[in-house]
Amino acid sequence: MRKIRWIIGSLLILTACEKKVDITVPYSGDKIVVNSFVQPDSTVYIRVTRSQPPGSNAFPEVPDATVSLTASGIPVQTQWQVIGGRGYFVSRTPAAKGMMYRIQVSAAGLDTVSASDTLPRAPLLKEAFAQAGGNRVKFVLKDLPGKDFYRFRLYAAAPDNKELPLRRELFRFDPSYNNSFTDVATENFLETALVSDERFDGREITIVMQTQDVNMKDEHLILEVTSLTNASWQYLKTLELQTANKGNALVDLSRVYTNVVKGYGILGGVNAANLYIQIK
Amino acid sequence: MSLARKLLPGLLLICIPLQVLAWNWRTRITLSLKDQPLFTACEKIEKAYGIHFSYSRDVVKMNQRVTIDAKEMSLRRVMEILFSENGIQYKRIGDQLVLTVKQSNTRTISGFVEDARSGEKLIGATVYSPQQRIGTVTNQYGFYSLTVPRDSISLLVSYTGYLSTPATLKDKENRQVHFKLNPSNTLQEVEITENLPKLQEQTQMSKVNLAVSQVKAMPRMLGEEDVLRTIQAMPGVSGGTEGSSNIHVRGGSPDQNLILLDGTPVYNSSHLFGIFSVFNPDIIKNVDLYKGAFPARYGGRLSSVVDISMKDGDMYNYHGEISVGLLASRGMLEGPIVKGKTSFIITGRRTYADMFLQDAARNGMKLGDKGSLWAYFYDANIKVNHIFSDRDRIYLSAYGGQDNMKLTRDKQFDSVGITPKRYHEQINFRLGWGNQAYSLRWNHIFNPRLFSNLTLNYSQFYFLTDYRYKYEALDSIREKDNMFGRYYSKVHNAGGRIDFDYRPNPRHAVRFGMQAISHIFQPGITRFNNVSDDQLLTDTMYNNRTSAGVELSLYIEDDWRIGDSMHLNLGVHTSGFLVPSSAYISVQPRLGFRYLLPRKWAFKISYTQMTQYIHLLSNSATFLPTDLWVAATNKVPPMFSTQVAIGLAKTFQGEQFEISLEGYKKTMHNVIEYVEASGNFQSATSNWEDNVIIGRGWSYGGELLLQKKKGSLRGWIGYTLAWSERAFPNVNHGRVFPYKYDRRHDIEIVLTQRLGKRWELSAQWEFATGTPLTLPTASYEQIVDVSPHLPPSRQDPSEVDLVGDRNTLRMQNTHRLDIGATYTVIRRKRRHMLNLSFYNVYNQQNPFFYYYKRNGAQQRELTMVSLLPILPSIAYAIRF
Repeated sequence: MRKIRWIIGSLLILTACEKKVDITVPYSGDKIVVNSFVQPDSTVYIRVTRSQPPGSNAFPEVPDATVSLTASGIPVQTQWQVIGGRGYFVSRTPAAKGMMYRIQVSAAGLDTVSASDTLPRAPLLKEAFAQAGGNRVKFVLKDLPGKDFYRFRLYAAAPDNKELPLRRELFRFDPSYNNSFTDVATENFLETALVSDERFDGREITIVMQTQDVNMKDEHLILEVTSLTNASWQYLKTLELQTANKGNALVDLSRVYTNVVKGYGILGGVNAANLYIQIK
Repeated sequence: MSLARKLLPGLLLICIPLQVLAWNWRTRITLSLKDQPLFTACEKIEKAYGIHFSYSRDVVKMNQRVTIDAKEMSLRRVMEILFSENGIQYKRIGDQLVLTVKQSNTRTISGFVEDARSGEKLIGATVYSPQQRIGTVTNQYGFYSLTVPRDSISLLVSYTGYLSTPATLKDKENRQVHFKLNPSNTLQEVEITENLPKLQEQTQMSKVNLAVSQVKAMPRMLGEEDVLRTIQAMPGVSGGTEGSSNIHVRGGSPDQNLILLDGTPVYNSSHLFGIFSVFNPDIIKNVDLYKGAFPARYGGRLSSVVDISMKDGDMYNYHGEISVGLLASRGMLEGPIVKGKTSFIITGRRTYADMFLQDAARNGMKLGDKGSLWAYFYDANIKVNHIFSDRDRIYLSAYGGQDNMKLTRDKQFDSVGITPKRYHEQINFRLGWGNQAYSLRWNHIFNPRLFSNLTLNYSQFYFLTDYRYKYEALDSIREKDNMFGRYYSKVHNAGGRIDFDYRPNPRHAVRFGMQAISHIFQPGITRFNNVSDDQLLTDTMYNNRTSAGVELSLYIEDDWRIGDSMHLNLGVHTSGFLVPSSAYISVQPRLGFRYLLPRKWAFKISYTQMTQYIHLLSNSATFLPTDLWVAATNKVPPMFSTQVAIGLAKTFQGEQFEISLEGYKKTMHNVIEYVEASGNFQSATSNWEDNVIIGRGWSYGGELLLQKKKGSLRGWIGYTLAWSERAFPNVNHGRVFPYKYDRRHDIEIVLTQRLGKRWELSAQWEFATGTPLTLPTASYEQIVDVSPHLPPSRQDPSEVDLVGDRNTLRMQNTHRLDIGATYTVIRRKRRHMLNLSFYNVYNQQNPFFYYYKRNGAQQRELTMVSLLPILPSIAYAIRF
């Protein structure tokens, strides 16, 4: 349905006339935005920024914020680092599975915010396969009983390092699991597929993803399947909806989930498993 | 004394009572007479059954001629047929039936009013007794019943566009009289319209009747006439978003409208995602919109009833019409099957843009030589009616319509992008939705005062999309897919109802009846079959569940003339709804009161309650065919509303003008919002109730309608002052907020001007204050990755917009002028009509929606999108 509305919305836009308008939109005020996905055995990268008036697309960092991160009550030290021109509070130790992560961030003139989440179990993957000259990546996912949420992504690996993702690949996911009927007709290829296990709970399934580009012999692909906690799932799913529906007249602007109290953003547990696929 | 002599007196004593008891009122009588005097009937019954009649030939008129064909009919029924309608009273005294003259000061004249040329029954024609100054109007089937003093000998029958016909009654008995009216001007096309009595003579309020001629005279959008668009131009009715044919009545949502086509509900009334309504104007005879003061016979929806009657078809001559417009073409054919007894009408309409775009689609979308792209809507209606006798008539009507998009690709490719690769791809993709509605109705006149209609109907709405995808890599690669997927949702409705129209005396007009409806819901069923490289990956169905509910209702209403100045319409609609988990009962009082003030102003007041047992799950900004119908449950109970309206109304200056002023207040309980995040083709799964929030709604305001209904210049001015609000526990912190189509002021001016016999000009101007608007109240950075070391997204950068309180802002005001001109000429009995219309003639940029758009410098700007610029259109029609 989302795609249908997007298609109709796009058709409407084609026939429409647009003009810039000035409406005084009330601003809910600056708040601390905390953004971090916590992955077991990986360093925790935390972005701390300020919210801005509606329509902004640049968000000031808050390097002088006080960040308090704990793992099941045990403090985790962080330090400010600039990576690729952007500042992060980076943990000195990797995240550990089975922990409850809690964060509290305060900054002068802003409400102190807090958030917490656990880390999900890792997805179980096997038998990844991609053939040269083909447009398919096939693999087996074993889902355990209980509610699980997954994110699927595909990377082209660096020629000299099969474990180093080089660029994101576009693909179509099996519509049986995400109802993406119109992808078939619209040749819609995506970077990400977010799928819950409600259609294969507790089962082992073979998934075939159709890639946009042809698989080239001896190149490597990295299949990333990430388990998500409920908070991470809700954040990513609602973010996907809001992003997809921006500028669509047929859909009301949807809210993006946040688990940050008195602020915005997400502190979400994730657990990614990668399969490194040599194209044969 | 012989034994015989001894027994004879005893036998006589036994035989006399036996003879007396030889017949009773249930005795089965077989009697067939055609146009014979009454005394002949009595003689035959006497001879065959030993039933003696006693009467005075000087008093009882036994030479009245009767026709009867009774087979094994009860004696009482035969007596009713023979005598009741001829003013004769019968009574059993001993072994005799004594006939006397019925002592009554009144008599009842009943029958049908119809077009003399076509036999089309006229709805709302007035039958009036000038002597007594009392009258009645024909009902939905053209039937009238008027009880007048016995010495009334003249009647006047009138109808807009027809010559008023005086009728003189020859005797003083009950009579069935059918009136045939001739059009007043045979040069002008006569459209059958409802011609209700003066406003001050109607207790009904909050009702709008639309003349189909008015619908056809309105300026058109893309050459299409549209009934619902015309309704939007009435006070109290809003169209929602610009260009939409949805209707929002007195602050209600489109799912709260009961739209009936020949008595059968139509669930989705629009084509092209709401741009056009599904009702072909060529088939429509009459349209009534009830915004409030709902008569007791209606129920099941909260906010409005749109009752559309289809034409019956010409009983005497064949006619047709073909119309060609920019968007669609239409055809209509009507005529007799058996002259004067059976007629039919059939219509069809289809858009054809896709037919001209085949080549462009094949090449542009790489569909291959066998590929195609179809995108169209069509609808078709058919109606047959047959007159069995003066008392019995049957109607069979059917509607079917669909919106369809079909894409087929069958092509061999040599590359993927710039990479050489040979493969063959086949795609069959389909997306569509549609309604079907069927009804069978039987009119029966029990006696001059009692009319009945039995209806059996079925209605269905469905949405469907499916694909079949086959892919096979050629050359040496083993890569083969065969995928199938289908999603559909359906709602079915099968029912029966019987309605009675009883006019016991001039002071009372009673309607009563009952209805049973079976609802079946299939809210989103999916099926997949996926085979890859000959390995079966998926073969399953999801949410394959069907739920049902049964709705039963009873109603009675009496339009009671308390005095010359005071009238009361008192009714009650009682309904029950049975679903597996719950049972609901609702008693809905309906009250209307009218008091005639000095200067012939009518003061009216009404109080109504309505209950709606079905909900629409929608998480779109507007109402779409993908929305899902579900039944009320114990967690999501039925909606109900209470509405009070008060008003003044008057028809004046020789029925040229009508004015009505109304104030209303409506409260709605258990209105819902579906908060499930809108995914791809969602289904109402077993836990859909968890995604529903339940709240309340209020709407109140005032409406003014000034209409000019006669003369070469016609039209109306409508003004609405309205508030419409909602409250939900988790929205805007539980505070009351404006409903998304809340418009404070709405002005509509519609004018049509005839110029001579050939030209008709029309103009429609509307102004409305802006609807509520929700915009983000802040923006902030988003995150999708665990680590900054991962490769960046290929997509544009994005951010999160914070959605705060709902509907705190307003869009800018809207206004628009549409104009049209129709030139009509008659050549060799064929009527040629050419219409030229301009929608939004001064190209006003009205807001459709607002959003933050990224400009060339990657800055985001608040942008207003206007959808419909000036749209010229031309349409040609020929009627023969």
